[in-house]
Amino acid sequence: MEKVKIRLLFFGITHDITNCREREEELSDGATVATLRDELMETYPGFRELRSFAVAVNEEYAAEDVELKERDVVAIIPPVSGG
Amino acid sequence: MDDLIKLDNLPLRVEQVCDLVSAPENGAITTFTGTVRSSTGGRSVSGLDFEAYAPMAISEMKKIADYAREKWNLSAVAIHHRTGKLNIGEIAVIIAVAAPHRASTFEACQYCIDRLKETVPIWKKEYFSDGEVWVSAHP
Repeated sequence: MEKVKIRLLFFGITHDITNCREREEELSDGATVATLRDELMETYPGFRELRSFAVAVNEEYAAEDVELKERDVVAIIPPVSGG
Repeated sequence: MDDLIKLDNLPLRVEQVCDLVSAPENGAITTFTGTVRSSTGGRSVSGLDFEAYAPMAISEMKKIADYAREKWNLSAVAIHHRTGKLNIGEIAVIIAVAAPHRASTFEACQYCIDRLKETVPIWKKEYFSDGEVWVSAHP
């Protein structure tokens, strides 16, 4: 099965949960935002305790069915609290 | 033009942001200034730290400014947000909206700060005497 390699960025509390700011991740070909979300919740129990988290693909908020492609920059966006 | 939307790790100044939207045809400039409060939910805050996903924060702030300019027929919108460590009373965000007449500027300014708090990828960590908390992260 083909793999796609993406760049994952973690911000705010998700950086604390993963102890990582940025890393590469290999996903199965055809993986979507929803797939990634499930994998993260599986890997890091801390993600399940969050109010929610959004996913941005190449600096735009992405819906759950968006397919991730080779070299996408995917940011994990926990609830924002600017202002 | 690019100065209108900015993340800055140095102190923000209201007058500087107002100057960016000031123009002879504008009879009104409405500003919102958000500052660091000394307590949250009864707990005493010692300071806070803003982290931003900089390129996306800028593009989301631009979207807010563009939408507001169009919807309320504003001449200009400036949004400056601070990053890094801040002390009590320091300015976290300044929004300035300018238009020929004042009527639409209040609602427009309120929209900008409300929307910023919903969509712009910036995170606030509050420091207390006995620990630290990422604001809004948990239910």
